[in-house]
Amino acid sequence: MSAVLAVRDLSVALPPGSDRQFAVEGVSFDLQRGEILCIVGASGSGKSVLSAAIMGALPGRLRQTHGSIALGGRELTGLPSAALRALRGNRMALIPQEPLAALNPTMTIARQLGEVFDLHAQLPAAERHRRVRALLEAMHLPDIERIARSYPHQLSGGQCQRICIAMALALGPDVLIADEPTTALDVTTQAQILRLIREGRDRSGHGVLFITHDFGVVRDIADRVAVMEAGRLVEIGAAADVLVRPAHAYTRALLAAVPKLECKAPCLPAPAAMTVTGLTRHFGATRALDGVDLVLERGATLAIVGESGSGKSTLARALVRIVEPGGGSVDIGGIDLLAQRGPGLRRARRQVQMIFQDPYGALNPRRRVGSMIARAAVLGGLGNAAARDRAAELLALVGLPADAFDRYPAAFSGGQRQRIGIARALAMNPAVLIADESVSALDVLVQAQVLALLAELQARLGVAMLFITHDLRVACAISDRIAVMRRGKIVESCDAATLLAHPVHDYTRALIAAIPGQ
Amino acid sequence: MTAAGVWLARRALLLVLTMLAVSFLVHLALEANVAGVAVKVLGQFSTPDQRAAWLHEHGYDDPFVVRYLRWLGHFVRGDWGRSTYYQEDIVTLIRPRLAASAILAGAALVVMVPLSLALGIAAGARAGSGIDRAVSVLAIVTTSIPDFAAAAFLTAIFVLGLGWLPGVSTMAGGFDARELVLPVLVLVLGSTGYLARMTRASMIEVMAQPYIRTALLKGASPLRIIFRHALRNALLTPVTVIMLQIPWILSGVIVVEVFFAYRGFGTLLYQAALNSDVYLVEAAAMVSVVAVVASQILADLAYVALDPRLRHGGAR
Amino acid sequence: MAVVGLWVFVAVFAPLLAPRDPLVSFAPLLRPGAAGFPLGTDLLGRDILSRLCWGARPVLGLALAATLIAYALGVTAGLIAGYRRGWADTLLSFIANVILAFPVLVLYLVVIVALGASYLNVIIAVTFGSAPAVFRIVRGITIDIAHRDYIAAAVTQGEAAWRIMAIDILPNAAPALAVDFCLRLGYTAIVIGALGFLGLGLPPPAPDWGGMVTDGRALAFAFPHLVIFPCIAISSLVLGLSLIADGLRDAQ
Repeated sequence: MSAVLAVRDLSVALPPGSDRQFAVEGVSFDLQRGEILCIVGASGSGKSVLSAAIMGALPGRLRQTHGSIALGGRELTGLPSAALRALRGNRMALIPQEPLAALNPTMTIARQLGEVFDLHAQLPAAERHRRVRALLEAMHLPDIERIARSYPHQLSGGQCQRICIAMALALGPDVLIADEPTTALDVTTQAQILRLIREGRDRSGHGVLFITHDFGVVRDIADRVAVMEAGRLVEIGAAADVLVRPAHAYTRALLAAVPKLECKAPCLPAPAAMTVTGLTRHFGATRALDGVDLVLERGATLAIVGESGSGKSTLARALVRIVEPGGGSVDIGGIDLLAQRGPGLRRARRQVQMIFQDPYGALNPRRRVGSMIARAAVLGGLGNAAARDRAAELLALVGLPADAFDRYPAAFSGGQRQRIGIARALAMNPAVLIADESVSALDVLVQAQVLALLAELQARLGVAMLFITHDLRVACAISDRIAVMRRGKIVESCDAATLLAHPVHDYTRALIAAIPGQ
Repeated sequence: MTAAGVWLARRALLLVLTMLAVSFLVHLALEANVAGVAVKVLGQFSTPDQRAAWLHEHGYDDPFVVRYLRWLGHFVRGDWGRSTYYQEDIVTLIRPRLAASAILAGAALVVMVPLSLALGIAAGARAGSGIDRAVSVLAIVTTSIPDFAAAAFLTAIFVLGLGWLPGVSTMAGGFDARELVLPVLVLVLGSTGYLARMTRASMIEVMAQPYIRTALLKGASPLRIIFRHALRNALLTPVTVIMLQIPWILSGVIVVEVFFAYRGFGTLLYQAALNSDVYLVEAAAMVSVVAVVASQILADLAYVALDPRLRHGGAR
Repeated sequence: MAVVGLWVFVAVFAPLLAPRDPLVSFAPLLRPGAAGFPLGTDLLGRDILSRLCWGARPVLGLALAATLIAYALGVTAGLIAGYRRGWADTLLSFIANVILAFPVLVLYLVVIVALGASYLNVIIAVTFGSAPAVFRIVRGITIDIAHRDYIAAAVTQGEAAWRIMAIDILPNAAPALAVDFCLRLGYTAIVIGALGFLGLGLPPPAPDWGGMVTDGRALAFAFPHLVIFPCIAISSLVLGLSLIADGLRDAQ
């Protein structure tokens, strides 16, 4: 079998002033016909730059400095742009990470799909029309005529991704590059898309370069695996080998950091730290929260697992009254948070604090870290001097150096910012911490560290935690009990091990089945 | 009713309310001080008795709200009163002047819009290039020069220096297109810069979007990307900006008309203000506001028509 | 930057810089370069250079005053409307829209007919015209920022609303506002110049750049210097401000 894509010693230089010299350094590999090669690595490892380089579409500031890329034996480096254009979308195609953003909002689906044919194959209009419809059918999309006439914003994320895949496969390329195609999708949708990609490969026999950071996906779909670190390819081999007997230390570290589907030992029952009864919230006709009941025990962790649209984020925000619930009660330490006003509310707020999802949006870029945390402590009732001490203490607790106190958030990485967020949340000594998808935006290695930190803090401080996530694996790793949420309701709730072994509700079963890599 | 229809209806209601508020404010500003009105209408040399008699005769003894409603009633029915300075019925006075100004503004728009859009798109498509820098410099310079200064400079060049164009535009000898050139040129110069920069900014933002990259990865040529993909999305903002430039152009029209002695709406309003012609100023102010509000409605309509996201609802 | 600095310097030190008293007549209609009058004299024999120097004061002073007041009003209103939303937002936005429905000069003409012309009324009218625009910008930025998580964090800590607006929102809006401030200052200077040109600004003997243009217009054929210098003055001032704004924007 000859290699449909052969990359030799590829290097792409970063502009001067970057934290390293090369985005991609000396990378070599082959992609065989009909095989799925997964490229795994943390963010910033150069995987996306690699895919851009292969397509000949590097952003202006990056240059390929040496190496060769051969598509079906034909050298791509140094090819004139017209020739490259003829190949793009035709013999090699790319599936993007954010499907909705990747489609032109002012063009109908039919026109966008049809454009691929316009660009590379001069087809009469009727034939093009037929081919577009055929593609939509192959993607298992319902109601083809309506979708063809729709605009991207009228479709869901999963449907948009199917459209992108259809565009990529339209002309039967030799190489399909999938750049983190399922990262922005729900786990059930992800399972469908993975199936679709496999199906496409089975049908047409093209080679697939699949970029991802999720080892579960790798396990599911890869024939071979390549691991990238800081621009270099550190390991490559058959999936079975790399996943079971990783050779390189970095691969071992990555695999160790992946949350396994193993659960904590169930903890002893404890009195309730927070009791939520009948929480509701409507947005017009939509019931974001439809009578949610839950009990969070002292010192324990309850995970709320759900997909997008389940209402889990609304739940988090309603519990801290960033969004006002329509009805129900939230009892913490005998006081109903929802019934409080004014000074009573301010006092009650100290009992429940939140850690946010986006490390880059959660900290005010114009305030120093120490002052932020100290301010939280002051609002919690401490005097100025005592607050500063507490802030310094908390920074040490979350593993940040002492000089972090006077620096601005811009000086810190995503994982470090989350630590700052945790310190800020703890400043008021709350009884309950709510972590709203707090590790979802982090790399797997950093994620493992933050999860470990949270577990340690809980053990030390005895704080109860409500952990919101879409990833069952993460939920299992950190929580005692899991509650599954769907369409504003809790559909099932019990301790983690039981949930996994004997799920009662159909939806829970579907979620468990959709977990990649089992 | 569609989502877009509801939204437009609410906007229309809002604009009607705005107009009412505007009319109230204008009337308040100009006619609340009853004694002042009398002075302005009858002149400085009138006696208090004359003024009192006149006020009584014209219903100024009634409370303000009653007067306002009465005036509003007249106004919407097309009875705008009489100009004290020109001694003519205001409606017949305004109409030809308005037409003249419309020609001026219209000509300016016809030149300015395509020019600005073209410059903005060219600059934004190739951000950082020579064209981009040239357009940016041009924009900064032209927006820094006030209309009257630009008029002065251009007059110095074209009338005094080169003698190509006439210096005033009174159209004394019937309609002469050459007399329009300088006023239009000044107006164009004044607004092109801003619109070009807005277009450029919009274009740059669009070119950075993921879907432009998709088109690139599909194998589209740069020209095709610009015209088929970027253009429609980049023009969303500038189109609304054009409509919203109209108040600025109206201000410019006043200055330009005065400078070139063009017998249009601007000079009318100006003369009215100079001579404290209360009723004329009222009417003219209302007409200006109507023009601005109408342009806002047009901007809203344009936005709905161009952006599919507004026409159809969101995802299922 | 240098240009603006120059004009500010001139404005502040005008009494010391201007070679002659701008109000006194010397020899009428001298051309630039005549002995002792580098920029010539105007119709009434007043030294143009001195009038330019003195004229910088009202332009800068009024523009600065009007813009500062407009900012004070607009920022306060914009923060409240953008952060609180609800009826405060509806009301304030409505008021802003009503005022914005007037082209600036029309607004001023109405004010002048109602109140008469004076320094104070110039400031009032121009402030009136600028404040709603500032309001809109600040409101837009505030709404944008209010969605960020760090604002939510402050809310969960029980932070008072006004502190959130002042400490969390405003400093993050400041860069964009700085750019707008410079541009608006320039725009206001233009409007003041236009008012002077229309003869509706300051009373006659005072040196006013716009007024100088009007005065000189009739004789512009023979004596272009009467008109050109004030135009250069005002254009360069605004240009300097625009360049500063541009530089600020690029620095962000």
